[in-house]
Parts: sequence; structure tokens; C-alpha cells
Amino acid sequence: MANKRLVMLIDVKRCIGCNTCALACKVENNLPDGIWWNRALTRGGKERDTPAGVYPHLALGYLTFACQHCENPPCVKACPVKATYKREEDGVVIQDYNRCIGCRYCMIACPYTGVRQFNQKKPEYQLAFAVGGGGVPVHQEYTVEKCMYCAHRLAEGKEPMCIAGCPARARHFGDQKDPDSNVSKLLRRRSHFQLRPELGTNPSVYFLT
Amino acid sequence: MSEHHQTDYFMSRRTFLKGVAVTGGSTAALVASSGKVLHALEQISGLPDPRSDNKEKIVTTCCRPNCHGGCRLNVHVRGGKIVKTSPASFPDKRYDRICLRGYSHPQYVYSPNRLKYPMKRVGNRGEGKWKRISWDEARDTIVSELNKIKEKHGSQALAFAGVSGSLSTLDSGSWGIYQRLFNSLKGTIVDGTLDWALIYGMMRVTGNIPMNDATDYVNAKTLIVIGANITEAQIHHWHFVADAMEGGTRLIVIDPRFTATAAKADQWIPIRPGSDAALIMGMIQVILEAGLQDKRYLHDHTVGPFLVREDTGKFLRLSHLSSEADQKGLYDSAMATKPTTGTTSPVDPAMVWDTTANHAVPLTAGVQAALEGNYTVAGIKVTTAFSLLKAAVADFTPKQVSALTDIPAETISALATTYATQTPASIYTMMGIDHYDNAHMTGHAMATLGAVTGNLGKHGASLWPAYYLNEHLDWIGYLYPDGLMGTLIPTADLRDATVKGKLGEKPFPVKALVVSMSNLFENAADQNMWLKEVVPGLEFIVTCELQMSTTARYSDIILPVTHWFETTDIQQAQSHPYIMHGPAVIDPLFEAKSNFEIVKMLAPGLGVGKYFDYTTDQMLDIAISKKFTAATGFTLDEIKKQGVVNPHPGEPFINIGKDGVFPTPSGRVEFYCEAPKPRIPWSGDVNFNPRIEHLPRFWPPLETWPEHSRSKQYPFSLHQEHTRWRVHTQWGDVPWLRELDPEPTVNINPKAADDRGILSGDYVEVYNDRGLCVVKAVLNEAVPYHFLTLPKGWQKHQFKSGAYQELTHQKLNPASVNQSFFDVSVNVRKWEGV
Repeated sequence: MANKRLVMLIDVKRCIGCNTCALACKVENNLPDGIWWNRALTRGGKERDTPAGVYPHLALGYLTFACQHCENPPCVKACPVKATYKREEDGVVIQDYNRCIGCRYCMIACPYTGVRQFNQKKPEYQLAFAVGGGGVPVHQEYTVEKCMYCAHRLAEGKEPMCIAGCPARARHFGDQKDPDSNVSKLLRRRSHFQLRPELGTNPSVYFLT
Repeated sequence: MSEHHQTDYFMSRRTFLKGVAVTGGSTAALVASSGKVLHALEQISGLPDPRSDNKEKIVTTCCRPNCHGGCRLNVHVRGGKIVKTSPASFPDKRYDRICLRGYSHPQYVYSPNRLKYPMKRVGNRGEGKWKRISWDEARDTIVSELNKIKEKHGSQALAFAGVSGSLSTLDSGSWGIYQRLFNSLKGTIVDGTLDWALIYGMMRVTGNIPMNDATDYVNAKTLIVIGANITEAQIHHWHFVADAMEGGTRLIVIDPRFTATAAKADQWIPIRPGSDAALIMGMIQVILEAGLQDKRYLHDHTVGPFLVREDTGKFLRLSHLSSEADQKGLYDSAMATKPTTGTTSPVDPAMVWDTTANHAVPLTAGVQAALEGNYTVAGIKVTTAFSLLKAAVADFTPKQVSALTDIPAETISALATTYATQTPASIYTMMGIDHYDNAHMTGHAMATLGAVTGNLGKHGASLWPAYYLNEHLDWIGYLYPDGLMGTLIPTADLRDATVKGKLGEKPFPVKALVVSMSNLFENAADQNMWLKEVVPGLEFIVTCELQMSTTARYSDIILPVTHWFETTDIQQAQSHPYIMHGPAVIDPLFEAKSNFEIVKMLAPGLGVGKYFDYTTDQMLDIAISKKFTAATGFTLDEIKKQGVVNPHPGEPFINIGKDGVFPTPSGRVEFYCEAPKPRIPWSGDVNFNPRIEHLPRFWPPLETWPEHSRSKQYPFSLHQEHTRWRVHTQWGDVPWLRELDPEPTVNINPKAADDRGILSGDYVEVYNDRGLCVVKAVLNEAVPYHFLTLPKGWQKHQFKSGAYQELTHQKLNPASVNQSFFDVSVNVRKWEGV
């Protein structure tokens, strides 16, 4: 029995798809070129920032998309070397680069295609020095990586980097098991959905509507 | 640096972009970049990995571009390097924010495209051949060239162009240290000639823009957004609007394009581009027709009751009454208190029709003046200003306006009724409706609409999100030392001054141009005019820049300027009331110098050294207005000590009209503008006709109008859309942002694309009689058939061919003297090149 269930709430009424959270994540975690753990996705037309429908009968929205930190994560079952595992104390799904053998079974098993990223080659960077938070694990060639709710920040009692910087004030983070937490209150007050609930993964990422 | 550097830069950039094939919208695997690593910076190799050093230094400073954000940022430094940024707190946390660009600063600061040392051109202009020179050589060359030109052609031959590349106190393209320099030289200062039409139109009505702080939107029952895409271009303001909506404010967005802001709104009203003034006039017509106007407000706070002479178009004034008898006794009551200063002095008051006494009197307390009517006073035919307004909008019935705007008549009526009755009502406008030939009339009409409904100067009732404009500045003493003053000329006059050597018939040669905090040759309209006429017409061009911009590429000398995080300055940044101390975080990279240091270095050789012989703090002290300090108690030391200071604590700030008094000649809302003047004096004054400028009027845009014959050849309106990815051309080469937004695009309606055989991802040529621009097509239902939006801020070298600014023109309206960037029609076809 986990002590906590850390959840992330994204208010899609407020989210404007600006990708500020994506950049916060990119810099804080010193992500290599081409690697994005978190991205804004368009809910609308085929291309980014385009609406569904025919002018002028249109609809456009956004959600941000990263590891869902499932209660029942299929990736954990698929990993042959226990490189990906769920922390009992808070439900965060961790990826250990030192154990990862790059088999990518986790990427196949994960129903949320794209949240797991693979370093096919030696990670490359535009800058010759590491950016972001201290204590971020060093990225490695031929390993899978993904959002870990900024585990290095959680260890210091801080929220993931994408939360406070959201200019739309659309992101919330906290313990769902604490009935008095902001996230618990919001989940009680607001209608919400999870991605692909029919799979029984029970993501810890909720979208407020 | 050499040609070699240039070539390498392009190679690596192109390769990099090719490798980044990020698909938008889909949940497909996010594609990894195979981009090869750009140049490692010379000075950082061999340093310890900052990760291993957890000793982090955090400096709180501010971001200083022209997005209006002015975000207060924490800059995190490890191992001497800026490793990240994060939002810093204001005393009022509602203003805390950052954006994607704010997070990307490490790559912006340490960009391989940074100019590293002074360089002089060794090939032809624009050829990209440079030779590194010392600062001493740069200074000596610039001083000697400028002095030579000044001696031969006069001081006006030295021009400065700066706009919004930085908007602090010293480091400001629009009101900073270069203005002080070029005023002290009695040189020429190139007016930005942009973003002025709407403001100018409003200012002649209300004296200033009626604006409330963004925290005030929660007090509005109705919020109408027109000409603004808040969710892209004013990200920092979005949460205030979202808060208001959560509190029950009804959001209505008027935009030709279905923006994300429109998608969030309770109602989206698509409108034909360039028809905004007609819509606003139609709203006034509906309101007056239905009797929904605020009569008390019109009587007490506007020129509505003023009598206007039929013969001159001027207000009837007491002195116009010829007979002594007519005037007798009236001057006594004409001792007027000037509302803005509180001083009492004899004036020649405007006359109104006293409905009780049935004759014309000056409007004094207790007089019940007629709002409507025609009268004859001492043989002079007069009409009330309100009656003239009513006549001016009479033809703008919903049906007529529907034909001009493509908005259904019933929607226009409902919109007007909502604005007049679901009050307080605010309008959030920005530059999307500014860049047209007729745009000052949109501003004029909008301020009039506010006054007619009494939606001004109250909580929840404004026309613009408060724009705080460095209230601490001593605009006179700092910018015009010893009263010395240069000549302000608009962009189109800079062309005449360089190409013809005169403005109108008056000789006015400009031969040297210094540019800083502006990418003039990329961001100003009609790029071919700049590169093919102005550049060859100039003997000497100096550009002070952070990066190798288009303007720098066509210069003779380029000087490397510091990034904001390498420069200490003070700024009040537009969208929030705080005046911020922005200390330098790191030492200047390479040989970069701040703009102040550059000016300080040049000034003695130009004979004006005494105006700049100060430390940064001493110069800032001079720039801070003593009046401001007296009123607020905020000195430089206090600002530095507190980090941020707020001159408007408490209730959300209301700019003007809170007491019903406006900073106009009459103290009232002058929707009838008695003596209209062009925004600035210029050579186009000869075409200015004051008689068509008194009241709101509508005329179609110059180009983007379906009925124009030009539309057969060029049927599309072209908008330069402001996106989240850049601020003008700033951040244009930040790799993190380019991974998500790799290359120039144009949004085209899928049906319009299909009719031209254009598929998604095809390269298309957007063209007209002035130029062309090749970009990738994005098929986007958000835009109507005859409307293209092209995200702004890409530079010439980033296009396959041409540049979007080739498509624009320098036809300035004689009144607003403003570049009409969006009043541009084009056509589009599949590009045949490779």
C-alpha cells in the first residue's frame, strides 16, 4: 500500500498549448536534442494548432502529454530488467538508466505512445555544459527515458518543474490520498478525465474539464 | 570571425533543421533530432560539468523584450554558467509568470550566433565577409565617419533607428541612451512608425488610452477581445482572463481567425480583415438607435453637448459671438478650472445650448445642455457634437455593417446590446487591428463607443490592458539633455532622406545610420525598399546587436551587445505595474558591451562626451524623474533595495477617466476631435485633411478588400501572426524552440489550398507585385478562404526564398503615420523551386 498517490492535474479549460511546461521540463532535466518528455498536443485538426471542423464551425483545445504514472503501469510488467518500476511510497514510475538495456519493450507496452523516448545514439546537446536542476541523472546512450515527476526535485520537497511555471495556472500537483490537498479538492469539485481509462491503467494524470 | 564562421553557421543550422521532423498534434513517437551539435562555445570548453556542482547562485532579474510580459525571473547560475531560469515572485503573486521563451534563455545567452567582437565589413554589403577589429578601431572608425558626414551634410545626416529590442531605461530602443545621444547631436531619430494608429486614434479622443490593469478583468461582466490573440501573443495575460471567466465574465472574441483565444471564448465572431472600424461604428449606431447610450455620461464627460460650427468645423466659442450683448456676463462664468492641473484661468469656452434659457452659454455647473440639435447662434449655424456623431454613424445600420464585415446583422445588434447593457464591459485590443490604413478610425470609434456607453474609467470598463510605460522616466531631462533635440522622422521619410536627400522640397540628407535594439531591415515594411534603396543610399551603417541579424548583415560595422542578463538596468515592463531593478547576472560574454558603454565610448569623439560621463547608476539616477521620486518616494537606491516597486498599489490601476476627467484640451472625451493633427509632423502632411478626421469614419483598407480590383490578382489578405515561438525576430535561432517550430510556415484554408493543388507540407510561394516569400503550407481550417497568416519573426536567411517583409509596403496614412503591415494583399501558389 503506497503512502501517497502523487497526481498531476491539467486544467484543459485553461491550458493554451503554449509548451511552457515542455520547455521547463526540457531545461530542468537537461534533455538531449530531440528528446521531449512533455509536450502540448492539439485536440483538433491534423496539424498542431489547427482546429477540427470546417470554418466557421470549429473546435480547438489542448492537453499536455507525458508519462501517465499509471497505478497499473504496463511498462513495469514488460521491463525484463526492472529498469522501470513504480515507487511504493508515492506511485511515481521511475526509469533507471543504469539498468535499462534499451530493449524498448516498455515503449511497446506503454499505451501512451510517445511519452517514452529512446536515446538511439549518444545524447547530443547544443550547449557544451549541462543545464537544469542539480541531481538530474546523466542521460545515456541506448536507454529509454521519460518524465519522472522531477524525482530529483521531489527529493528536495519541491514540485515538478512544469507546475509553477505554467503561465495559464493550469497545472496542479499533489497527493490524492490526502483529502485536504488541493488536487483532491479539485478532483472533487471539477469534472475530469483520464487518458484511455478503459485499459485499467488508472493514470495519475487527470485532465480537468 | 570570418566568412568561414558564416558558412558554418548556415550549414549546421540547415542540417539541424532537417533532422528535426517533429510532428504536431499526433501522439506518434516524438522524433529525435539527428542534428549535429552546433559550435561549442570557445570559452566554455574544459569547464567542469555544472551538474557536479550543486552550489547554485540565484540572481533575480528581469526579461526585457517587447512581448509586454516583463517577467521577473530567477536566473540560476552554476559553475559560472546560466543553467536555468524560473519564475521569480512579485509582492503580488498574481503577476508571477514565465513563458517558454523565458525558460529557453540558456540557449539564447549562449547561442553560437552571438556576435563575439566588433567586426568590419570586407566584402559588399550583405555578402557576409567580415574582419574582426578591436573596440579601439571600431570606435575610431565610427567617430571619424560620423564626424566627416556631419561636417559635410549637417547634423541631421546622422540617424538612429531603434525600436523594441529592449525596453528598459538605458537599454531601450525607443526611449533610451541612443535617443539621448542623437538628440544631443541634433541628429535624426527614426520613428518606429508602427503600432501607432489605434493608439493615436484613441488618444485624440480620450487624451490617452483608457486602460485598466489586467487584474481588473474579473470586475468586467463582458470582455470583448478584438485584434488580440492572448493565448499566443500575450501569454502573460491569459490567466487573468481565465480567472475572469471563472468568475462569470462573458468572453467574446472578434477575429477573422479561429484562434485558441477564440476557442476558449463564450462566443467567437469572425470578421472580415480591415473592417473593424465599421463594426465599432455599427455598434454605436445600434446603441444610439435603441437609446441605450449613457446620456448622463455623454452630457457630463464628453464634448457631446458642444456646439460645432458648420462653416469651420470648430467648436463655437464665446469669442465667436460678435456682439458685446451676446457676450455680456458670460465671461464671468467662463473662469474655468483646468481639470488636469486644478488651476483657474480665463478661457475662451466652448458653447452649448442651454435647454432652460434657450440660448447658447458656456457649459458650467448646473447648465442643462442640449445633447442634440441644430441651432443658429449670432448668425452662425451650429450643431451639437453628439448630433454630428449620430449622423456620422447613421448609415452604419446592422444590415450595412453586415455587408462590410461579413458578420450577420443580428450578431452585430446583439454584440452592441451586450456591450451597452451587460456592464461594466471591457474591450481587450492589441495590434491585430492596428496595421491598416484605416486603423486610427478604429481607435477613434472604439474610444467613442466607450464614452457613449459610459464604459470608461471604471473598474471592469476599459479599452486596453494597462500598458505601463516606464513611468519613472524623466522624458525631457534624460532624453533631451540641455534641451537639445534631434528631428523625428518616420520610416518612409528615412527613405526619401537617404535616396533623394530631401523631405518634400526641403533638403534633408541622411547619410549615416546607427541601429540598435531594432532589426530594421527585417521588421520594417517593404524589405526591398530597405535593401535596394535605403542601404545603397547610406554611406555608413553601424549595427549594435546581440546576434547576426539581417540588419547586421547589411551593415559596415557591427558591434556586439550584451544580453539582458549581462546588463544592469531598470524597467517598468508594460503589462504589470512594477518597476524592476534588473541586475546583470553574469559578466558580458566574449567582447560584448552594453549599449550604454558603447554610447559612452563614442560620445567624447562626437563632441558630446559630457552628457555620458557617468557610471551606470549615475546615468540611471539622471534618467529617473525627480517628479516621480517626489510623488512615490522611489529613488534608484530604493528600487535597487526593494528589487521591485509598485507606484500603483491597492485597487487595480485605472489609467484615465476615473474621476470623469480626461487629459484632453476640454477635459472631456472628445469624440468630436476639434483640431486633428497628424501623429507626428512629416513630409506626408500635405495630404492630411483635418475635415475628414473630426469624427469616426470608415473607408476600406488600401488592399485587403474583396471589392478592390487588385483583389482579382491578389485575393488573399496576409497577416503576420505573432506566435509564442518568438518576439519579433528575437529567439529566432534558439534550438529548443526550433525543435518544436523548425521553419517558416503559412496557414492556409484547406479549400483554398485544394483549389490550388497545395498539399499539407508543400512549399508555397506567397507573392505580390512587391516580392515573394517561400514557406511551408499548413492547411488550417482556422483561417477563412481569403486569409493567410504567416507567423512573424523569421529572418531572410531562414526562408527558402524571399521574405514576408518583401510583401508589405510603406504607404503611411497621413494622419496615423503608421506602417500598415496587415493591409497587404497577396496570392499564393505551389513553389516550383527546390
